[in-house]
This record gives sequence, C-alpha cells and structure tokens, in this order.
Amino acid sequence: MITFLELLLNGISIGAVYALIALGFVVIFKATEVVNFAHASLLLAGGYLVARLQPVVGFWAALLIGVASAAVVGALIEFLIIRRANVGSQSVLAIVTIGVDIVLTTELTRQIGTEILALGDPWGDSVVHLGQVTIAETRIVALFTAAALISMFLLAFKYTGWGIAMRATAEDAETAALMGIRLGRVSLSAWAVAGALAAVAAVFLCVFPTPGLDRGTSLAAIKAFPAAILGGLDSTTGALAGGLIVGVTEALMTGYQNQLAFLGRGIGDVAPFLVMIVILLLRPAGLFGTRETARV
Amino acid sequence: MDVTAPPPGDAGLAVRDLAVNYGPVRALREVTLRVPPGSIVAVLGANGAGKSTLLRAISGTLRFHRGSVGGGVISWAGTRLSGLPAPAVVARGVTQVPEGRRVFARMTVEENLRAGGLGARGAKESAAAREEVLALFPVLAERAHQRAGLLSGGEQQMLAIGRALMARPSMLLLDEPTLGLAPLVAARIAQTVKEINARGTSVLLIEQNVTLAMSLASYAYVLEVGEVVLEGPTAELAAGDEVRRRYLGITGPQDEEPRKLAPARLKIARWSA
Repeated sequence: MITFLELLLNGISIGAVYALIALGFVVIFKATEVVNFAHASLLLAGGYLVARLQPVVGFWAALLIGVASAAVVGALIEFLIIRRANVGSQSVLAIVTIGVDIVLTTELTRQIGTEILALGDPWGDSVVHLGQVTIAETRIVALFTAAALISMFLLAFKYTGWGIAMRATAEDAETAALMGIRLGRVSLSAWAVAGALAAVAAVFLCVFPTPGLDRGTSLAAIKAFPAAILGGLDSTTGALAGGLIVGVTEALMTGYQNQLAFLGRGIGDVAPFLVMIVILLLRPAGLFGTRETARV
Repeated sequence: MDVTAPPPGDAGLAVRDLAVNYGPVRALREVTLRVPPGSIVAVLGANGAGKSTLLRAISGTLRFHRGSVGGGVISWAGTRLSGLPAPAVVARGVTQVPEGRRVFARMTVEENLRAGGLGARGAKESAAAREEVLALFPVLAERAHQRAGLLSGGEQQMLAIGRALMARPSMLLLDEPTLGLAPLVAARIAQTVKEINARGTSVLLIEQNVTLAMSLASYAYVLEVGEVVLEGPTAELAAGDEVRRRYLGITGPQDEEPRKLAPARLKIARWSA
C-alpha cells in the first residue's frame, strides 16, 4: 500500500510535468493547427541553457534566462519558418517541424556530447516523509509548480483578452481576423508560451531522481505526445488529464515491473503509448477532443 | 447610368476598377462602386456573381480563400484599404459581419462580444461600445453567459452584428444578414440595420432578399458574373424593368429564354415575401 501511494504520488508529479509539455503542444495546435513535432527539441534547448548557465549565474537566474530563451526560440521558429512557409495544408507544416526538431536536437546533442549536466537546483536529493510515504522534494516542487503554472495559464485562457483572441482564432481564424484579431501575434504568443512551459518542464525532468540533463532528455519529452493526443489534441483539459494518465501509468508500470515481468523489462516506457492506442480506439478524438461535427 | 452615380470625392467607401482572382479564375472584373458616408448601399446578384468576393476584397480576407486583388483600388475615407490585412482594415473603421453569422459557438455571448472589441483602442472605448450593443440587442444581455452555439438563428445574427459593432466601425459590411431567418426575424434585423445606419454608420449590404434590400438601401448595384451590370437609386431600379424582371420574380411572357438566374431568384423572392 505504501509503495502504491509512493508510486501514485510520483506518477501524479511527473504527470503534472508531462501536462506542462502537453499544454504547450495543445496551445500551438489550437492557435495554428500545426502539430508541433519540434516540441521535444524546444524542451531540450530550454533545459540545456539552464544547465549551462547555472554554474555562471546561479540556478534561479539560469532558470529565468532558460525559460525566456526557450520562449524566444519558440517564437523564432514561428516567425522564421511557420509563418513564412506558404504551404497548402497544415500537415505539411507538421512535417516541417520534424525537420526543425531534427536540426535542433542534433545540434544540442552535439553540444551535450556524452556529458550529464547537473542543473544545480536548490532541492538536491532531499526527501520528504509524509507519514510512511517517502517522496523526493523535487517531485513535490514539480507538482506545485506545474499546478500553479497550469492554473495561471487556464485563468489567462479563460479571462484575458489574449485568451479570448486565442480561443476565437482556434475556433474560426478567418472570423477572428475580421474582428481585428492579429493572427500573427496569436500564433507567435502560442509558440512562445509553449516554449516557456517546455523549459520549465525540462528542469523538472532533469532534477533528482534523474541524474541530470543528457542527450536522452528529449526522449522523455516524447511521452508528452501521447499525453496530448489521448487527451484530445485541441483540449487544454485533455492535456492535463492526458499528462496525469501518462505519468501515473508510467510510474505504476515501472514500479510494479517485477510483478509484471511477463510483459518484459521497460514496460513503463511503453505503457503511455499503449494507453494512447487503447484510448484512441475507444474514442478517436481523444478523451476531451472536439469531434468533427457539422452544424448548419 | 453614370448620371445617377454618387458624386465623386474622397469620402466614404470607394471601389475602383477592382479585379479579383482565385488562382487562374477571375471572380471580379472592373468593379466600381461607391458608398457615400452615412448611406446604405446594396449589392444584388445571383450566387456566384461575386458579391462575397467583393466583401472579402474590402475586408482583407481574400487570402483565406486563396484569392488576390488583381487590380484596382479600394479606399475608405481617402485611405487605401486594398492590400491591407483584415485587422488593419478593422482598425481603420471598416468591419464585416461574415456570411452565415460565424459566431464563436464554443464561447459565451459575452466572450464573443469581447472578441469583437479586441481591435478597439481602450477599455473605456470597448465599455461604451458594449453598452451601445446591448441597448441595440437587449437579448444579448439576457444570454450573456450562454454559449453562442445555443442561440437561435436570429439571436446568432444579432450577436454577429453586435460583435462587429464592438469595434465601433464607421462602415459596416453585411453579408446576407437575413439568410435562413424567418420573415419576422429578418424584418427585425432589417429594422436594426436602419437604426445602426441612423447613428451614422455607413452600410454596404449584400442581400439575397431583394425586396428587403431595396427597402433598406438608397442605391444598389447589380453584379453578374463578376461585373456590375446595373446600378442606380433603388427607387428607380424598383420601378425599372431590369431588376423587376431579374430579381423580383415579376416575369412577363418575353422571359421564356433559358436564364439560369431567374428561376432561383423567383423562388427566393417568393419565400421571403
């Protein structure tokens, strides 16, 4: 029971981090209808900058710069490539983002080499005891940070002019433009927000119990894809639910893999994708996605 | 024909020799029309005559339909509109109510109005605009927190017009505002258009319902296959044979020639009577 609670708590915490990544993914999709396969490299870029800068300027300043830079990188991808690509369909742009991802990831892995970069975070490897349940402090911080950022985002999405412009554009871009909403700005801000969220997620993917940032970190980010997709690509609520489902599934499957030996080692890494496939078979638009409906 | 054309000048909306292409297809050619400030001008024509294309060219949304201006000039109050992106056109005071209402169905009525006011200059301005809109359409205040998709067709049209008014336009472009509405609701919308115009907003109206359009507008243009084939003060047009024959469904024995437009018009005119 204790093990279960520990796994569950860890799962929720990592799930909240996946939700941060998935949220960025969903925001970009809603604002521009582009499936952004470059998301993992955005995350790697943010994490890399934090890791490289923290010995020089300290963790908090590095975090700030890393997050801001990831936002800028996201905005640049939008401004230099997505906006200028005069293609017929958004699925072509999705393939363009695969190209961007390959270029960015290749360069970053070259920079990282075989190193494992420490993030120098203030939480280190300390643990917290909640009754008999033991959990790393970093996981608690991750959970609260993700929850705070997600709430802030959702409130902004619901109530601010920016959020209204986003949602209006997501629903009907042409009409939004007719109302004076600048689609370029909406799209740019979506990419910047997604980049910033990914950078924060990168930090929490690399702190204890993970040894640090290495060339494989972007693979961890790929688990956020099933999170976004199983929740429904165009639903912010779906991103949250998807993130949590993936996080908890992964934590439980990894934690109980001895009992699940018949499924083979490393089932925890595969589980998110299996869950995604099952959910998509049952609900093709994802848990909270909009089904294609025609209304006259 | 030109004798009755509105006087030249910089005021109001002026479209001169406008040509629009969708790829290799020319949708409009040498379309020239004027909307003097404070007036209501109607554009009539069959489906595919280029009415919606004309509005898209003015409001800067041709690029959403892979279309482009191939020549000519559109100007409003002396400043050039052609070539500007849609938000810049809104910022200059020209706002379009899209065909088919196109309210943001998943957002509330309130949020739809806010979306319409995003192009406005300040919080004060948009608060004033909101008050005016709610005075014009009290039903929108009652339904403020309902999803726009759940409104009736007439209410959605009111919301679409209200949303456009949130930008405080001095020129309103209306694309078939009574399409698909019950006659009573259509009459109510027409009344509102008159009220909006009485407050000083110029209106360019595209309307299937010819009787209604003729009663609202002071001047009308008739488009056919991308060209202006007829124009004049609505009173004269209504009295003349051409429009009556083509669009008001009043046919004489000489109209047995196989004209594609006439039967369709005939049906609509009867339906909206």
